[in-house]
Amino acid sequence: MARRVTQSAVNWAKFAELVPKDQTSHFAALRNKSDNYVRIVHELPEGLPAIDFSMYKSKLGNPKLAEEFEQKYKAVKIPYPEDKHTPTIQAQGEEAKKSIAEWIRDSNMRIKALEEEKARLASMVPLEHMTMEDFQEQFPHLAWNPDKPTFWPHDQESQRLIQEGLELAASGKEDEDH
Amino acid sequence: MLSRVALARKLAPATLANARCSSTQPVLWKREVLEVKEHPDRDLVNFPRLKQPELPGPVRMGFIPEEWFQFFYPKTGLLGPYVFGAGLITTVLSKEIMVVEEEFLFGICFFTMIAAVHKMYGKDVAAILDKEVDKELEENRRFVHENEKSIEEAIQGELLAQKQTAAQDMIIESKKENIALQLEAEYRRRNLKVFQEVKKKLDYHLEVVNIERRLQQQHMVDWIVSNVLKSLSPQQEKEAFNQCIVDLKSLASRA
Repeated sequence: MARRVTQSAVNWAKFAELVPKDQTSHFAALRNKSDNYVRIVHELPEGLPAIDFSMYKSKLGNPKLAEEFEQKYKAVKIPYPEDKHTPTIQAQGEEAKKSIAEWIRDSNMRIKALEEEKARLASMVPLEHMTMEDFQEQFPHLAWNPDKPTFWPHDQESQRLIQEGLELAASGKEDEDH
Repeated sequence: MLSRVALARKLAPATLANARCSSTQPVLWKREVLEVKEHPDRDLVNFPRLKQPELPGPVRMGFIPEEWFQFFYPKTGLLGPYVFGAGLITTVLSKEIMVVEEEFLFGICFFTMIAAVHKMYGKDVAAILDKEVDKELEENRRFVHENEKSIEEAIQGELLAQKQTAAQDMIIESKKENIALQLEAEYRRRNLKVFQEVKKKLDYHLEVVNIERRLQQQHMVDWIVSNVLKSLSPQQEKEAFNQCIVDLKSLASRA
């Protein structure tokens, strides 16, 4: 017989704190379900409800019949439903644990990279003392690159447009207007 | 003679030491060393990283760098550079390397004008330009600062997400619990069903007994009434009828 649960042992308040903001609806659904199950359990009687057999004995013409009913009622063994799904959940939990461990490892790596980036920024040559080379070393994506010349007026939007135009020209497609 | 004075006043050793620091470095006007994290291979003793100078070095007579004079002092003494300058001008003029013609006068005017403009407006222009430089520097600093802030936020976000993974255990726990609760509910439902069925059977038997009893009573009543009616004779009926009429009459007289 499986463990008898009649109350939710989960610390819902602490659980709620740990839920990311974009997943509160899932959390609410889970909580709702759990509450609902608890409510159903509490609506039903705990064990076999008692029957007043003495009343029946006195009123039934055949007390032997009542006696038999009483004995059989007391002897009845109600099977507890078989638990088929806990192993599935257990497997789910194991899998989740594995993927979480993996994710945390990745996350730690990301944090390490970010910390390195932070340290790099902190130990960088102060901006006012930077030479063009220093700047290129620290911000390669922003520095002037002779291999990738920019066009006037040198802002990102115009670079994108010019790039598109160049690609169009390279693909050999004619503009339909011409 | 003057150079000896200079040496005696220990002017020269200091300048010499400074001159050794770096071949391109001015002497009195020494650039500060910038303390930053460098590649471990860099020779920090001989080639330290120097700060970008914000202001130009000191000059004499408006345009001749101080280093020139410092360069001459150990060799020629204090008047040396001036003597050298005067001699150079004399030589250049007397050998007609520099010819004094109308262009020469223009040159004098030109440089005078430049000097005048520099004197009159130099500081204002410098202030405006400094402001522009400061603005750009501030913008760049803000850019770096925002970068740092976003990195910090990203780290905090990762840490928070790591902390939130603890909820996974709770999810599994609550799922298991939900199953247990449903099993319990099912068990209780079965209990209730057994109770209801047994109660139904018992009630049925009770009802059977009740109905039997009621039918027996009914039957007995019917039987008694029919027997009584059967036992009544027509004489008796007539007497009863008469008695009724008498009763009615007495009732009417009383009313």
